[in-house]
Amino acid sequence: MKKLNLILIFILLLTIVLTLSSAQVKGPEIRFATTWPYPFHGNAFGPGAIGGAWWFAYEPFAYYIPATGEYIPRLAVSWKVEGNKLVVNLRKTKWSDGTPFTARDIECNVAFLQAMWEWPYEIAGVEVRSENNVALVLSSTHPFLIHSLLTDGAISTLAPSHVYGKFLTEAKEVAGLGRKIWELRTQGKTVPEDMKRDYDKKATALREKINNFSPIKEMGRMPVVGTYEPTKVTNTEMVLEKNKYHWEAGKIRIPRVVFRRWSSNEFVWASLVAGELDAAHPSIPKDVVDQFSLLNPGLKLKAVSDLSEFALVFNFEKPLFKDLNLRKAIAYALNRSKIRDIAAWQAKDISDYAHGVLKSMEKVWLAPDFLKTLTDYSYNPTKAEAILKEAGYTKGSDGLWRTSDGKIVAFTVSVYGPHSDWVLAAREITEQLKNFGFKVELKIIPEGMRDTVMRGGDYETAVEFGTAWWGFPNPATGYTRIYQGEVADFTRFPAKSKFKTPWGDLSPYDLTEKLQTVLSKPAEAKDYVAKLAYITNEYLPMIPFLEKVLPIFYLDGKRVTGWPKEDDPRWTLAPGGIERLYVLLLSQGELRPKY
Amino acid sequence: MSILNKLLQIFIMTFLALTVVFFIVQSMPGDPAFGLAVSIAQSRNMSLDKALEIAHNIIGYNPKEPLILRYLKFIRNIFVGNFGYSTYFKTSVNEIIEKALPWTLFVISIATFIGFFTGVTLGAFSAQKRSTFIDTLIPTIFSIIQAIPAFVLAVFILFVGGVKLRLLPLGGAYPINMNPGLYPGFILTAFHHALGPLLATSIPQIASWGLAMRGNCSNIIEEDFVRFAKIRGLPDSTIARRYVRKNAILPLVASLAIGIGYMLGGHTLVEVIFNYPGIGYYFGQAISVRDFGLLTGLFSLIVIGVILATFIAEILYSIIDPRVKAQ
Repeated sequence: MKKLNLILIFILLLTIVLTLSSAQVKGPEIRFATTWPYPFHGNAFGPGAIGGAWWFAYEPFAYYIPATGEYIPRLAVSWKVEGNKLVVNLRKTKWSDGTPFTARDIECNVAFLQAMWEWPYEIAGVEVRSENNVALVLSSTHPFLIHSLLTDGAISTLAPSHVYGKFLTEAKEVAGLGRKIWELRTQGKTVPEDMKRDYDKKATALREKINNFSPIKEMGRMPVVGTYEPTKVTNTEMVLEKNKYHWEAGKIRIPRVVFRRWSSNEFVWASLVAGELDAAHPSIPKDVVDQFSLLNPGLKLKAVSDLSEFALVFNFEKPLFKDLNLRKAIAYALNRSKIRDIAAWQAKDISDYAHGVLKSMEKVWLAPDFLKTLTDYSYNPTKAEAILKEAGYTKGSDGLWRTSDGKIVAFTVSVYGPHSDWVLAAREITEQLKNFGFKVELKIIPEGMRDTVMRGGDYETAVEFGTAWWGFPNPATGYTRIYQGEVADFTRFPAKSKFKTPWGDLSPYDLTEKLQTVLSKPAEAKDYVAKLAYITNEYLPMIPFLEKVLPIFYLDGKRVTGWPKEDDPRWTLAPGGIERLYVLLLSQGELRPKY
Repeated sequence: MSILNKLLQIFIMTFLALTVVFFIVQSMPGDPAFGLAVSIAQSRNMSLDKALEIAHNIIGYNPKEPLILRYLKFIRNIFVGNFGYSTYFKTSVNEIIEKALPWTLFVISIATFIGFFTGVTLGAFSAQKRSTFIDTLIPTIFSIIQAIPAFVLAVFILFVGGVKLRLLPLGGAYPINMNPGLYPGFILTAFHHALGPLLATSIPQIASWGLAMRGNCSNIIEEDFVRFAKIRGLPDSTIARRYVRKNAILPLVASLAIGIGYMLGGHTLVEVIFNYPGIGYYFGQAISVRDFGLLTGLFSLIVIGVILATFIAEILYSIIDPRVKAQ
């Protein structure tokens, strides 16, 4: 009986303590999950930097909405390209400690980026024209670079001059030396050894100083120009408070953001279902999601394109895959919807074309009438057989397809082992192609060997990222990847050759180059995109089978409300920095406390 | 003299073990800068080789530094209490240990002792009730618990205790609104936050110690000296307490000591699932981001912990077992 009493007293005490501790929460807050390296330095120049607080603390010049192609001004009020300069009119605002934000901060920041991260050396100089006007002198005004300078959160506010100014002279010296070396290398010249030694010595000394510099420890805070400043950090939680000097501070209705450490998917799942988090984007199997919606019906899911596709790529150095008929037969023989269901159930289905424009952006770039002119590769094994037979392939009594000279059509599907969704897809592809009558084996690429195997051409077919609009979400980025970038390096597709098209003989390499020059002219750009889509679909450098998505789970009405509607284009801001979406919704006062 | 010999033996053992730890970690495949290099290569559209070079500079890792130099630096540091530097967390391993070890020790030590004493008591009780329903029930439950993977048990406790019943707090060692300190409110809250990891760690231990104790007791009950005690007419409780349990527990003491040494490494799985801020979480991170500095430091901590615990176990053993003392 005594023991029972003790237990009851203990439970009573616990309840009191818990009630008291929960009562300590002051005002409305929103909760997310993220990873960050702890001990927290409040210094961006390290791996991991400040984790999920990044987009809350730092502001880019603008946000870009992929679905509409629209820029939303943030730290820049306006901008224009003048000759070789990007001229930016800065917003009149202040750092969270009350210090005015000026063009000097941009100058300081660029020096630190170049010194610490060896990037972006394309900025040859920074002209401070007035307190709120700055010109970045560029070695190139390529649209990809301009987009990156406008939208990358690092470009403008990582190193406030009143905080990092004491290291600025050294940073400028290191940045200058680094840029000289970069210029020599870009021009194909040899870098003098003494210059390299001098650079290494000075860069190492500066890095050591900056890595040891912790604004949080030395100043007791990390002044930010963004919407929220990290104010308290423990091993498992990070609290951010509203920056009262932010230009949208008056609109912000939730003054506090709490991040829980993303220690495991299981923890994040449990926290979402229990209503301890307001939004997160963990990968969750279908059966688990179904279970969750029963446990917490308020939990909603929005799947946003992650701006990339998974594809089966061919090695064009292997004679077998130089045959377009075989590639087309493979496209028809694959049940791509089934592959998607097995590998990534939430992903967007691609079961018809293979044109290289992301499925979710197809309507924006390709007219319905044009799409009708393309070959539709919907699952059709009968058609695949017909194509092969017409091309001289035969099927033996053993059920295996043979080439016109009698060789069994045998090949491997390589896949990078650590990417579990790719492995699932590759297994399914292998099975489907085996059932169709090809002799196919699965080959796992060990961890750390992906680049070596793929660039070395040590594969026949492989599961890889196909088109990907990372960085600048535009078809130009995707086609650059396919015909000039990583996919081209992997596949050795003859992109510089001319292919027959309704517009004459065209090279996808040249078309990609031209597309990059007309990005500011939508009609012309669409014209080039159509031509590239035609070549990609009809000559099949790869067969995409799903569009990767970012699943965003959110709770509307538990602590906060005001999430955008399902078809709101701003959701597409999430890939590559989901916190940007949260910041936009919070700073414009749309996400608000429930009561 | 024998103590001096023992200390010398410990020193040599520690030195050899640390050497092995260093070379094992160094021989692990991969590059600590690889993850960063991939993100640089993607965001800046450059070759992976160039990105890797930049990433090495950023994290201050020089893969070309001779292995022997790195080894000498490591040994020199470890003997002055410096466990190295974490390239990922950009801080000394000592600082990480200092922040995380107290939480690990808090949970794992309580779990180890609860596990040991409950397991040993139940195991002995089960053996004492031989050929009864209790002796069928207890080992069956223990065997089932032993068969459940630790991951499944932890997720079960998290979802049932934290989500369904709302009895366990989700994540952290204490609410961020609270100021840590040695006052009752904080201690109780910290204990409440530790309950999930505590249950997930101690339940399998109860089962494992319980089965071991039951096995030992069953063997000892068959010994002549126990039969003789029965013939002498000693009460069952005295036989159980003084003749059986005392002898059955002896072999478990060494295992317990080694277990205490391993406590320093935390429980990665449990800490990751419950988002608990112990050493185990950092172990997991060190492996996933290939932070060789942190990995070597944490492994070294465990090695030193196990060696010291074994030494303490030997001393304890000689105290509780008169035969060893006599030798």
